[in-house]
Amino acid sequence: MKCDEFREKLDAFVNGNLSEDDKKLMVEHMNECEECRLLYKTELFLRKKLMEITPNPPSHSELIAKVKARREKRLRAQQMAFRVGMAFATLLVIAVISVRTVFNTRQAVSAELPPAIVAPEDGDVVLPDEANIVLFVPDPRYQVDLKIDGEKMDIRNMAQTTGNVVVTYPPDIEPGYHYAEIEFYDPHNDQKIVQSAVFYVVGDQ
Amino acid sequence: MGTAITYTTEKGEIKVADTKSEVVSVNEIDGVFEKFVEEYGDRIFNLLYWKVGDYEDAKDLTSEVLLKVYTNLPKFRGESSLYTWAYRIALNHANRFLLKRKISRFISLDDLKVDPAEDSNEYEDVERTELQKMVRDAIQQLPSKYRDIVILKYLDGHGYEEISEILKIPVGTVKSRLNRAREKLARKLKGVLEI
Ligand SMILES: [Zn+2]
Repeated sequence: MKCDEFREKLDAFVNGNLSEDDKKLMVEHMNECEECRLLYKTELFLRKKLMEITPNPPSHSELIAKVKARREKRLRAQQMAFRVGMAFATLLVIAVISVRTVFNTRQAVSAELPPAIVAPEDGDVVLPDEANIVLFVPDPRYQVDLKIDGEKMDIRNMAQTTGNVVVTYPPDIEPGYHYAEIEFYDPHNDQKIVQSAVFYVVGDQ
Repeated sequence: MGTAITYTTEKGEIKVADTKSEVVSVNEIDGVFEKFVEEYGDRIFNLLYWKVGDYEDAKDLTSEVLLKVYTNLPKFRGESSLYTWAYRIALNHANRFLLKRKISRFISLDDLKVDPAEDSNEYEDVERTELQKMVRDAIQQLPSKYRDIVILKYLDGHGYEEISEILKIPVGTVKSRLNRAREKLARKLKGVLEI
């Protein structure tokens, strides 16, 4: 028997699924070939010991608690974004009804929560088809422009949105470093604000 | 067959039509999920442990994968077994994690973080023996495609056909990869095995 044949039949051999003749040949080969003997020992070791040396898994209650915590965190973030949106909507109504004047962005748009790039953060490593760019928009009246590597992205669909806005990466984005940039007008300081994030796109494995 | 079911998820209510699964009903999703964790939680953890080679990372990944299972459970259509489906989610998730880890170690400041395996005492309990470390390192050094097969075969006891189905690769490929993996591991574990 040659080494190739031994390796081919090793699994069946350990399973006890070979003919008596084959078994004999296998054993003969093992006795004269050190390399194949080692392969046989490896096979046995993996079958018997791998499970044994696996550390004890965390308890199920711990796992379930972790999952629930993650879920709630995500839910809260979404609710928060929604509530912020509602608060601004209310402000808008009050402003229009009581002052009966042309809407003044300066008063109605919060200074505390300006638009921001939530994800990716600087230095993040991302996969092109993964969760993409998340922008936080506290108020739909902010005119937010998003650029990737200086190219303006089409985000018209988010014109009416409040809260987190997910923008997918351009389908042809190359592996390597890129930067996302948002630009908006800050009425409180009467200036344009630019915020950016540098991230690294991973190519296919 | 054909019963309409409504789940409440983060995105609001989702209506799905029941296909093969018996367990689903409006308020049962939490129950189903808990049963799922009872039944498959350990196996998913074990898979992830050997896949990423770090206890705490494996724990985090397990909860992330389980959250994916939880949120996607209403969409599960029974094309494969629930376990195979979850297994694929876990493998994909772990592959992404590993790819990111590899690259962020390569390009960023993560080098400054202390390797938990070298550092903390906490892990001493979990990874008791030298043998465990040796095997862990040997499996970690395998290319991902070999590692997956080693895990599926030796940890989960799957046969060639099942592995081929889970990984969606031909049986012949499973066999040849397994042979290559065994050779690589044999070389690394030689010292232990020849005693
Ligand atoms: Zn030989």
